[in-house]
Amino acid sequence: MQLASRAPGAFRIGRTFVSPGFDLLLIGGGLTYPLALWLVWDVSSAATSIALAIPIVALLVNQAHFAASTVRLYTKPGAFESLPFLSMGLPLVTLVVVTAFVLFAGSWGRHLWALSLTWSPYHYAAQAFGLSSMYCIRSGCPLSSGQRRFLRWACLMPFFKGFLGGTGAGYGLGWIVPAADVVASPGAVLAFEAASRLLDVLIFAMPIALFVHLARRARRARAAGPGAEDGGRSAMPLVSLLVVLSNGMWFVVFDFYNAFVWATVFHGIQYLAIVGIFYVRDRAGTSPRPHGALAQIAVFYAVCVALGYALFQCWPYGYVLAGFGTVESSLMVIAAINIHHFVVDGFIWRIRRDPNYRTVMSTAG
Amino acid sequence: MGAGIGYRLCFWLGMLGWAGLVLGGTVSEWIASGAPPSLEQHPLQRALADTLESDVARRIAEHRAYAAIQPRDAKAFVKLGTALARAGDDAEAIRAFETAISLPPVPPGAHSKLAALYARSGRVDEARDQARIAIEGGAAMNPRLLRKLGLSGPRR
Repeated sequence: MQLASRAPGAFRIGRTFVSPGFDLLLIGGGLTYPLALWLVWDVSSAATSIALAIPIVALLVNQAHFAASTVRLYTKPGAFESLPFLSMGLPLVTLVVVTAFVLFAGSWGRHLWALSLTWSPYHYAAQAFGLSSMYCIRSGCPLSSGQRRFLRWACLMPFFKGFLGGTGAGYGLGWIVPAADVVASPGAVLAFEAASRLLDVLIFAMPIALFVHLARRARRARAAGPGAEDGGRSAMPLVSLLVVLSNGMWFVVFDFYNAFVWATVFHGIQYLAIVGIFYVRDRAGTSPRPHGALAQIAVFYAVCVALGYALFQCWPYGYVLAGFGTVESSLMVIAAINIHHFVVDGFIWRIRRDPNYRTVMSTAG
Repeated sequence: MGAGIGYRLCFWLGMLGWAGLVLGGTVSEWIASGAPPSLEQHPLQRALADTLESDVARRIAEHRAYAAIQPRDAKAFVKLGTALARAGDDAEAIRAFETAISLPPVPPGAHSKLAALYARSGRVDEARDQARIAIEGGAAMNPRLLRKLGLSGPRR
């Protein structure tokens, strides 16, 4: 396993966890680009492109990734002590909330469902921000608070695009304002279209602008010499830029539904890759034996797939057994698993003042 | 320490409750269908696959639940309307399709199906209006229905 790319200059891959190829393609989302180009050329919908493979892809990637946050929570050293509510209280709270929403699905259910789908693009944005800033820290490219804020806003642009894009289906803006109201007002339609086009530009322009700015800073620092202020600073790693652009790509290239499907698949791949790395590092310190690491990842992944199946495919039938319909049971369970995952992720990936920092800064692959 | 015991109690209550639902649900589904829960992802498809064709009331109830949870998704109402029309409940089917066409973007075919339902219910003027919108949108229309309404199909 390779440590890092230390090529001098403004364009560096960054300090990778596994290898440049692995980090760029899976964590950076590099796989996104050829597939997006092919899908645009082929003009296929997500449903027709993967058609019969959807259940398998969903099980192995999507459901496994949702389960992975729970597995990570319960295998993270010290999680029970440092996160008592999250690890011990939240399961019961989730169970009670799901049951209540299944019970009153006809009246309240739409809000839990809309919340989960509105939150999803925000969650992807947050993950893009977390990964991008993590690679910056890891690659010796500290961000000022202003630059961090700019990066966060850059990562949020696809969320805003998704927020607008979901209007027709009743998510995002459509959850608050019915699409019929938007369509009824020519001014609102114009503003909607303009905002949508502006976001398309900002999704790419903002991260590229930050990348160029940090590359210039690094060049100036190098020219000034090691003793000067900023002398030790590197440019923004390429993998950091790629993470942000990949997340935005789907929301620009595709409509809401297709963007949602593809972003979910690639978000899941990205998540499983990084969670596997952290799991192994937590267990084996900074110098695991390669075969031991692969075996650990295989076991971790198998548990995630099994738990994903139990959560998504089996749990709803518990409510069906209790006399509820399959649709409301399934939709409420899916929505609750989504929200549980978003909440758990907000805590288990913290870097500052957390053992995660050691993993982020660790040198071995 | 007290908080610790409370948390532990919550944890085990949550785990036992969840495990009970998962195990009970899995076993009951396995017994009912002869196989473990399938990998079907779409909740409505899963519900319909689990329900007998003859159990029309339950199938419609599942469609209703789907539309209730996604009340701004026109496709959900088109599916509900189609199921109701198939069951012969034209009045409810019309109501579902009317909701569908009030929710932009209107799925292709919603106007033509509503036109057919109006015509079947004797509401000829409304049927003609819907048929015209369907033709303008390029939707496929039943030629016999068009003749009955005194309209011609889309120009090609």
